[in-house]
Amino acid sequence: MAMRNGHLTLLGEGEALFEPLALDLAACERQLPDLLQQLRDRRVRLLWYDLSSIALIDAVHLDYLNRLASACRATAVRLVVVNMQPAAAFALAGMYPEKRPCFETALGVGTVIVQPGVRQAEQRSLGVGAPCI
Amino acid sequence: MLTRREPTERLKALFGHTVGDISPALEQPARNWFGGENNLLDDDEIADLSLELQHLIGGQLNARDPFDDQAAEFRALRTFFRTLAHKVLVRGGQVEDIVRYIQVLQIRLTQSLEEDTGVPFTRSHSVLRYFSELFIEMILEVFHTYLSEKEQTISSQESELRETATPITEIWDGVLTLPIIGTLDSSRTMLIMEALLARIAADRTKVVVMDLTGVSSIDSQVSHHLIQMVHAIQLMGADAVVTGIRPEIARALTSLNIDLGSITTRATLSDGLKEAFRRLGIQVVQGAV
Repeated sequence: MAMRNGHLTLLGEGEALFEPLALDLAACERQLPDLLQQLRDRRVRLLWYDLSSIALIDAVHLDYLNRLASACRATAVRLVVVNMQPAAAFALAGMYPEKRPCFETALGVGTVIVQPGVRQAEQRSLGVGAPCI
Repeated sequence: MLTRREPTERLKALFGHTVGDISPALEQPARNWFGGENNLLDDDEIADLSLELQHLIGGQLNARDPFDDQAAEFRALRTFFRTLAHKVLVRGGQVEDIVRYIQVLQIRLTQSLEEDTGVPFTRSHSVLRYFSELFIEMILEVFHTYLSEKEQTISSQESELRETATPITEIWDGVLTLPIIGTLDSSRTMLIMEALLARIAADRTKVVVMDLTGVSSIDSQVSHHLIQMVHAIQLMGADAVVTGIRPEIARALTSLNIDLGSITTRATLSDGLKEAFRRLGIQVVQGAV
């Protein structure tokens, strides 16, 4: 379903894909409660957040993604960021350790993690995917 | 730079003269230095370049201001020597040979013009000085071309070395290996990171095994870049395994207070590959022969 700041697609039971449109972070912030409401109404437990159209991520964008991940955690939704572009990953890695991503990442939608827990545990110790403080 | 001065009678005679057919005389120095066994230019090329040079010299001497080094005629002459130098250097010639050619050319040109006009230019101080200054500018142009060629060669060799020193290989479906050999500096680390992240995106890589067995030294900035590289790999959704950290590198990392706790490390590349396979749920077993 189309939302003002992106497109939400239900993939299956408890799973959804969110594709953000042209980035207006202020609008994204305003739409956050709506997005969370949609996830709740559709009983989404796993949200794939597609970053394939976002070429570069700055500190403000990272803060927004961390807040989104935190809000998702608060509503019992697992947020996994997928399709991060090389330049975006490069930029985010450059912000470490001052700024850390607090969300899980995966190669693409439905990427199977064969050893569940292994990566998450490492990510937690890294700060990637760890709860925001 | 050509020194502007009041033209003497002989300079006036030089500048007013329409250059005749002197190209056969100009061919001789070119044959000596570039033709025959030198095998740098063939006979036709030498004939063409001598004819072209005759026209360009004629243009320069008949220019509105033969002392103006910004004039079109002067720039055309420089372009001629730049092109000649490039051609000869690319074919394996030496810069010394081009310089010697220009020196002999200067003498032959003065003699030819003397024969052409009947004016004793070879005994005229002002004419000899004019040609000397003119050809020094041409020699400088040759040296600029030489340096530029050298810089280009060094740059392309560096680039080639960088590529061959960090071969990113897909050793299994979804598994990349990156053996790093030599000294890591910041610029090289950044290049590796750029190439690696692009490859992860293109190949949908699941695990990257970075082998540091061949890394002999590391500093604080580079170790920071390495940690950044691992984070960037993880952010793209892949896993990173670092192998082959030598004892001296490990000691350097700990003395630099670099925390490796967040990074999966294995002793050898072989162990790293086993770890990669384990994460992908792949089991390698010895089959019956």
